[in-house]
Amino acid sequence: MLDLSRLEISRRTFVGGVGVGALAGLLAACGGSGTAPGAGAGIRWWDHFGGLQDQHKIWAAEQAKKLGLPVEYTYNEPGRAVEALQLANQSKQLPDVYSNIVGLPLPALVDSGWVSPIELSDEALARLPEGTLVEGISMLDGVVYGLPVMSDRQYWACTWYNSEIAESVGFEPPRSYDEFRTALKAIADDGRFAPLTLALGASERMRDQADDLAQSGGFPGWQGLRYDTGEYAYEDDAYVNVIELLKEISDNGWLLPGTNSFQVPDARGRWAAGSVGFAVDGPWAPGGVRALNEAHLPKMATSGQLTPEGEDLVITRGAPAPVWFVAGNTKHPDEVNLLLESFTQDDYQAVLAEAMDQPPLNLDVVADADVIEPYAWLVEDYKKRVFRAPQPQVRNPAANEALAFMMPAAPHLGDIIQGYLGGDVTDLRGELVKLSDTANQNLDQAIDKAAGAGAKVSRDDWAFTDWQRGVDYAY
Amino acid sequence: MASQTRPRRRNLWIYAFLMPTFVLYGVYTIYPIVASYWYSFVEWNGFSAEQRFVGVSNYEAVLADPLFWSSVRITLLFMLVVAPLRIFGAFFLAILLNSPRLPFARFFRTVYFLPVVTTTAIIGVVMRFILDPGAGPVAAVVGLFGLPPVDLLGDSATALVTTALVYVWKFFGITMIYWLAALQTIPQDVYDAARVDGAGGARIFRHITLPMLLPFLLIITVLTIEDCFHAFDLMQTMTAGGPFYSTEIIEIYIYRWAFAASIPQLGFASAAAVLFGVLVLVVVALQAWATLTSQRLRSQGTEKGRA
Repeated sequence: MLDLSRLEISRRTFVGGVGVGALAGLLAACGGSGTAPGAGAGIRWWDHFGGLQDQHKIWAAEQAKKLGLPVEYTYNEPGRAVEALQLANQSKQLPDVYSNIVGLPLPALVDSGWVSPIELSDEALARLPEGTLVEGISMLDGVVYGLPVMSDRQYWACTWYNSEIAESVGFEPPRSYDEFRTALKAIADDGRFAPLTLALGASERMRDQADDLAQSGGFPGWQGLRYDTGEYAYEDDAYVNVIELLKEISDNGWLLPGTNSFQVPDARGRWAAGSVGFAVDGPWAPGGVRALNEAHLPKMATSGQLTPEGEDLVITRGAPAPVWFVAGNTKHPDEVNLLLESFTQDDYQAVLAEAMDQPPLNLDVVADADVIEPYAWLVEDYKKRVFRAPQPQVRNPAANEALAFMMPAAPHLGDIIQGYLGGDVTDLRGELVKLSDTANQNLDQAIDKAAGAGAKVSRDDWAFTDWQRGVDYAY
Repeated sequence: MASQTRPRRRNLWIYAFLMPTFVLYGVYTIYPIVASYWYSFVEWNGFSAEQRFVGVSNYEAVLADPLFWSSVRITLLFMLVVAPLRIFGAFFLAILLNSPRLPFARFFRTVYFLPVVTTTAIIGVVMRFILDPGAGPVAAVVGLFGLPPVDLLGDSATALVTTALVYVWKFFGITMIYWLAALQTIPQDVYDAARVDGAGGARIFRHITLPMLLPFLLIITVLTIEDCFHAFDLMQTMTAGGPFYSTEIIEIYIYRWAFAASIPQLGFASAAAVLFGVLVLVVVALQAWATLTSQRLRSQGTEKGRA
């Protein structure tokens, strides 16, 4: 029998024991995947939609009751969400359901075991608007791998203005570049408010907005790529005109001081504080503003997106991108499918609408949702102005193989805008030509690599000579 | 027999105590270094399982990228601005704070050291508010003189210098502590003897303090220069490398390709990281060589003088 009274522990034995114990603990902590807290016990759901956190927490709790299984919802900041998923995948702890923030095309995700098929019931499929599930985007060989729940019909460079300042200063909602100049000048001359703020420090956001403005300015493509020729052409007049407009605004001193280094929350926050006339932001601005200063919501107004002469806006967008994926190693495929089906219901679509973030897939629910009038107006505008764009990976899913190899170009359009407004770039068109050359070269190299790996893909897949502006593209 | 067993048992204990350090150092230092060397030879996005061996093409691509060389230039420029300010500024401050006649010396040491123990990312965020040209205190002071707002972080001409000065303020204290520790090694007897011989403060400084601190200059300079290559957290929170790459040090360049790209390029970023490691090694080796050579020449000169 062990006599504890005779057990002597020297200092060395004690410290050594503690050291060995700590080491054993460390090794245990580095151990296998099955030890992750919560893994396998229920459904784990991760996303990066900051404006939907509260709604998704509630939705997760409601669905947990219906499914009889815990649903653990986790929000990850967009800046960290990719790394979080990378680490989760490497340690075989991918959440059962996660949002689409991984930049890889669908076939690469399927090949790498990141996603598994989604089995939607006929009832759920019937609720999806026509053309929601598209081969090459959300399906491969007829199998659904990604579920879109947000609309592709949107534009991102919306001209938001403060209706109180508009009334006080006396400017009209601008539709054209000249009207915009006039309104900004009126605010500057008035002297009580700053005319405009942008997220100039967030060069990716500036790139997105300039891409949209160039398209509404007549560029026959998107993100620098011409639909008709399949060539990058950032040096097009439509791009130059947009950037020159921004330069003129900056040189006139019409930007709120500090705008050069503003990130998205900085710019939105300053505008929501109420002393800036205009902000260029996406349709999700009301949701973001509500989180920062709800009192500003009633003052929000928008005139849509600018066109050079105030002509009718024409925007093109690809098929709805998948929003939700199911992990390749989920232990609850049936329950996860039911959770995903719940996202197709009108009440979930109404939740999306009322969050006033990205518009829901079913745009019709917005009219009856509790949203501010400008948001409802924008969504109605989307229905009229946004058309379906051609996409190489829809015409030939093998194009996805090339897209997975595509290196991003640097400096990209947003960087060039930042540099041109700050005086670091002096030859704008020359810099845009260089960007086009780099992007074309990167695409050619990506196609060569994909072709070398056996994919039947060529640069011709990117050219849609029969594309017409203002018409939904049909293959 | 017993005499052989005892050293063996003692050695076992030594290895047992060292094991946690070996394991942690191996897992968090050695493994990432070796892994980054491997990744620099593959094309890998971090998402897919496939890592395609591409030889030295990542290195070729990095070396052909003008933005890589821009980041090298900015990193070296940053180091050249920051290191002398930290080394010599902290030196003179340490001399001052080491004076027995200075009142509140402990208080001042604490005040200068406080930024060192404050989280760098928090300092970066707070500094953005302080330097905000629209509503920050700097803007308020500038406004008192009727001057237009100054956007120190939004202008590529001033952003690097501004971040460098904030960096110096943040890490000034650690170099000061090095010098204070060095000053403690000078025996008080030497100072007393000099005073008895009639030496004044200036002569004591020139003929005792300076010569006796010189051996510490090498190690403090090496440590500070190596430290100056690591400014990622401050730079990322203050400018994120902007505007237009004007503050993009190599660490941010690596981060941009590894994590901020739409499809991460971990192989390319690893190649840049390996080249960065080589750069740090070269700079420190050059600096050590220059210091040792100057010391040798000086000692040769002294011997010739004696002869």
